[in-house]
Amino acid sequence: MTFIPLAGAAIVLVLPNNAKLIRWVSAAATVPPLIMSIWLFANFDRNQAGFQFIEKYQWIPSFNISYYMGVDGLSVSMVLLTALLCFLCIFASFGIEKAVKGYFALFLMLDAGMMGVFCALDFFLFFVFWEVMLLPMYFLIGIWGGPRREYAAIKFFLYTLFGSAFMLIAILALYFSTEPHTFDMTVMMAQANKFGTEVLPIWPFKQLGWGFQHAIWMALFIGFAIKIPAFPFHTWLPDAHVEAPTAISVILAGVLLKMGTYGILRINFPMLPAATADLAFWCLGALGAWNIIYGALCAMAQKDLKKLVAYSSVSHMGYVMLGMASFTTQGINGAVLQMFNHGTITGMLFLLVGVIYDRAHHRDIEGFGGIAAIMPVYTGVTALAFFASMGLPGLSGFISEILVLLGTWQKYPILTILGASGVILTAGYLLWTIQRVYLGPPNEKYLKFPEISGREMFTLVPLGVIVIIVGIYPSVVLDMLRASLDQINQIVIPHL
Amino acid sequence: MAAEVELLAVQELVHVGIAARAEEVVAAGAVLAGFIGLPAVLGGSQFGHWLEPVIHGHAEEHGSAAMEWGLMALSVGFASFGALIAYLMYRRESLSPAFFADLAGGFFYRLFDRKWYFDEVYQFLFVNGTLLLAKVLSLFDQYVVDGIVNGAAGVTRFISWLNGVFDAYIIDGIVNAVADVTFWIGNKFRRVQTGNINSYLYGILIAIALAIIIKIRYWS
Amino acid sequence: MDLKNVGSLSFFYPELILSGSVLLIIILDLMVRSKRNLALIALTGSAAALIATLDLYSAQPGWLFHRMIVLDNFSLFFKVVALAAAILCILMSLGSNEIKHVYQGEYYALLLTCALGMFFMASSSNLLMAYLSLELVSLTSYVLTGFLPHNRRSSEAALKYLIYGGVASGTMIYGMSWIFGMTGSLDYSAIQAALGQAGVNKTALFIAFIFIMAGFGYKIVFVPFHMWSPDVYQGAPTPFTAFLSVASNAAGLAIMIRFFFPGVSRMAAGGDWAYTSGVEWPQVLLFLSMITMTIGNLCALNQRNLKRMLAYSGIAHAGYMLMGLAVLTNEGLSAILFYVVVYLIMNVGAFLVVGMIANITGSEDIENYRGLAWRGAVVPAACLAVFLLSLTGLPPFAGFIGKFFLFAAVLEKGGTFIILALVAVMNSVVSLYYYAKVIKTMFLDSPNPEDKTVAAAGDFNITLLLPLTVLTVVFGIYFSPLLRYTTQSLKFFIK
Repeated sequence: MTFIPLAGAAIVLVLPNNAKLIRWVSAAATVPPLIMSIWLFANFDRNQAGFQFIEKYQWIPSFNISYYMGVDGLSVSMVLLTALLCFLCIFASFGIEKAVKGYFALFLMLDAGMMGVFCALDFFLFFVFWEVMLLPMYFLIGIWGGPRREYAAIKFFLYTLFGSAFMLIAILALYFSTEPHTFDMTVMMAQANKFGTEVLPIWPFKQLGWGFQHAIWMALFIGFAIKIPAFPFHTWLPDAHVEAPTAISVILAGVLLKMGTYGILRINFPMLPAATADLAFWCLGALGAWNIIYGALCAMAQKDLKKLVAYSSVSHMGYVMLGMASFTTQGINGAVLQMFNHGTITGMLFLLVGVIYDRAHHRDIEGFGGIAAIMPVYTGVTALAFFASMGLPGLSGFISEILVLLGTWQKYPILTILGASGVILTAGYLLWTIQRVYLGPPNEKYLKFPEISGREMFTLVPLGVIVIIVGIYPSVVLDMLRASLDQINQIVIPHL
Repeated sequence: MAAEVELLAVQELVHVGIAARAEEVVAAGAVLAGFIGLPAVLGGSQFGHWLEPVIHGHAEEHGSAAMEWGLMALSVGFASFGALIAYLMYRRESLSPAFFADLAGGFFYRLFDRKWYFDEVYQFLFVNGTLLLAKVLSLFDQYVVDGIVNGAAGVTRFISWLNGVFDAYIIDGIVNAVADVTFWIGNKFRRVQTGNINSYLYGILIAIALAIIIKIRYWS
Repeated sequence: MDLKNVGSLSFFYPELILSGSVLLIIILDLMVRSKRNLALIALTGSAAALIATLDLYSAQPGWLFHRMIVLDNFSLFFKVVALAAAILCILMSLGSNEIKHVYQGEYYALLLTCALGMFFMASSSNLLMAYLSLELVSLTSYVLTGFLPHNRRSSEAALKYLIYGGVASGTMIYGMSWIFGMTGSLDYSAIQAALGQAGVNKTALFIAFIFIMAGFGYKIVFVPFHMWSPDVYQGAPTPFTAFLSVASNAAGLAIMIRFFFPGVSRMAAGGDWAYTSGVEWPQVLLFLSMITMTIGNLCALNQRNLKRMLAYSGIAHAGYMLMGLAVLTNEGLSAILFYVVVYLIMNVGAFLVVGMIANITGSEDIENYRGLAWRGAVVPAACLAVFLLSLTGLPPFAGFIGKFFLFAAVLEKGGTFIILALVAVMNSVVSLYYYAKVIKTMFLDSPNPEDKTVAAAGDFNITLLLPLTVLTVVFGIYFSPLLRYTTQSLKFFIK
């Protein structure tokens, strides 16, 4: 599943420069992972909490590094999301004209890297895949992006690498703390209680009352927080999203942002439980609530439609952080469900923005008006996406947000209130945007716009269907998550 | 032409005739209706008796017999007086209606003609008043209540604008500042490389001297 | 084993073959017309020496030539590295336009002599031998740097190199004389024994070491003895710059490790090294490593000439390699050796591309690389991108693995060295900027209309480029054989 896209990339590189051929070969390369992920989804044992479908081979014996891949409930949902979004984005990328071969090769490499991150159970392997994603992203944003693409690309690259630097130190520190030295995540999880929690005597750890485990937790958290993106490490996101081409924005928002929270759940929670229990309120809960409100307020101030959706991503990921901090079943399940939902919903949103950008070549909110009269089908789909983002009952966003709020209410009522007010703000800017862009008298400039095309609909319909289905019958996804997440939760709860 | 005029005239007469008949019918009906509510001294209201089982008691109050007779006399007297004046004014034409109409400058005529100005008073007090109240309340709703709502939206928009500026310039500014500072330091260091071989050699000298000094002073 | 002169000759084949090739080239230079043949002779000679070196792995380690040089796995490792660098350099020179106009006979002869000097540097077990071999390498380097005729920059670089190198080696020999005075011997093992006894003035020892470091430091290029390298790297012919950046760096490390580890420290129980008490080695090396990395990376940010930028990046990488030295553990040393091999591949590859592009466009400025990928030179541009990203230390390239091992060694030591790891990691992030700037210029910028198309597809150098690129990627994923090789090479012969 991870390496088929990579093979696809290699094949694409040697193909002749026929754009149509390249596009369809790439699409074909993403189909097997999709099928496999659906198969995984179907055959995954819902009641078992551990890792399934494990592959483990020796890689570098002297350092105890192995090629160790496996999935649990958390990974399966993310893998499914990744496979689906990658498949759809190939079709969304059919509009790329420049250097088609390079684009699709890089895209497939990115696909492989993302799959690898979600399946890796060896820390070294995890880190390698994590970094492997950065390179194609840099090129994809930097070559095929908008006017300020070089700035956005290098900002993304440097910022993420900065976080990864801390992650590397943490990985090595954890490696040396396990007996025997190993990078195997399952072993690290099993030895979680051994990582020292005594207060380190050096500044600034002594002042903060932090032990070794806390220092590692923070180092890892910095790396993940940049990806989530949590305030104040989020400023790469608006630039990267605005400048990236549509399909890349979808991947960025839909998959890459999830890796931060995935990392926290996969690594910080099970391996460093005491530190998680101590630091979760401020670093996850309060920061999450602040993310929600800050992101929503910033979104309201935006004049560029894509930037608005980018900030709304910041806001929605705040719900994930809030849910994780609650350490209740509802909270954590809601958080991961929100991860999945955000992937589909924001994916739709970016695709929709791409549709209108392709026609108008600008994204200025004030410059549009009355699109509903010109492209009614498109407006209908957009309305669906916007309402899902708002958390309208009946659509998937509602389920995850309500679970998160329910879960958090039990522990931190104040944060819940802040989170709930975020819902109002979200509704505010989304409805306002609908009003400015889609309703009202049609703008004469755009009367000639063609309606949404079949290809564009093809990319949107599966996501829309998922949004509705999960909204009505969320057990489809929740069942998968519950066992694994509860197990992760149980590891931390004794330390609270 | 003449036939049509004749036709119209006949229609007029017919209408008047019908109106007159209608009036006669109404008048007859009014007289008959009066019998329903006879005063007690003349035998009591049949209608009231008929309704007694339903109302469980007497439907009306009874005043004294004298009052009843007095009231009867008063109402009949007024009616007769009015009939007499009408007979004199319009049948016999011995009294001139115009004279009465111009009495007190026509004030009374107008008063009675306008039915004591009841319609106008109603119109002014109740109809216009309600409309005014409605207008006031609607303005209140639009500007004050809704104004608060819009004000909240405006405040939120302002805060969000502030937030956006803060995010773009301060948070992002810090990020860019870090990059700029690094670059600036790099530039400063770059200038140490002068290209002049003498300074390179001085560099060796200074480095070694520093190392020796540090060792001798601090590490022995 | 401790052999005298004649007995040692049988273990001396690689050096003999190289010397023979040198003489052959000089003589044939007078006779043959086509100078390419000389290059082929040099190539054959180096290849033969390589085979002889590999053959020596089966020999028993020991002293040769009255304890002047030593034969052990460590020295063999560096001989292999030097020969590999020489072979790559010769191949590069074959395809380079710059070299076409120089005296090719002398060029190849000097190159091989330089490699020969590096052999001695890696295997010297006597202070005098160390000095002599260092001088041999330096002298040949001075000449080769200034080899481009009628090129002011090249001559200026050579002169600066000469003066600087002269001062540095002068300082070094002065320090060596102090050591001789304190211990009474030039031989490493005797020095080690003498230092183990009490009575040696620690301050004097420290000062002597600082002087010696000046000489070694100038070869390995760490701060504050780095100031010659940007000018020299920029002025020298590109194939030689590649050779210099990798091989002399490696040889300098070899000589330093050999002096400071088996030479003046003792192997403590457990396999780690215990330095002579009273001399604060770890602190000095720690400080030097941090400052080298930082200055190298910071100065590279603003560079406009690619060769100069690579010079500064070389300084930074020397800083990273010093990290492995500072921890004084076997893991650190093995990490350094691994990094040397990986660095060889990456750096030579990078300079190869620089040379290729300079061949066609005649300039080495970064501005010149604008939109290279869109001007027809996708393959060199992509390969350069691979090399630069590997130099940054990004997976899945070999550079990441090298840095990873260095970090692992540092973090394993723990304590205050964690600060070193943090500084190193931050430096890697900073270095991304200037490497990415080149990549950006090549891929993200659109070419100016007047830039010529670069038809690099048919170039001879491509055949050299692709294997190097492939190796960079392969070693990023499957590096166990190399790891085993380097660990195995860490066997010193000490008595």
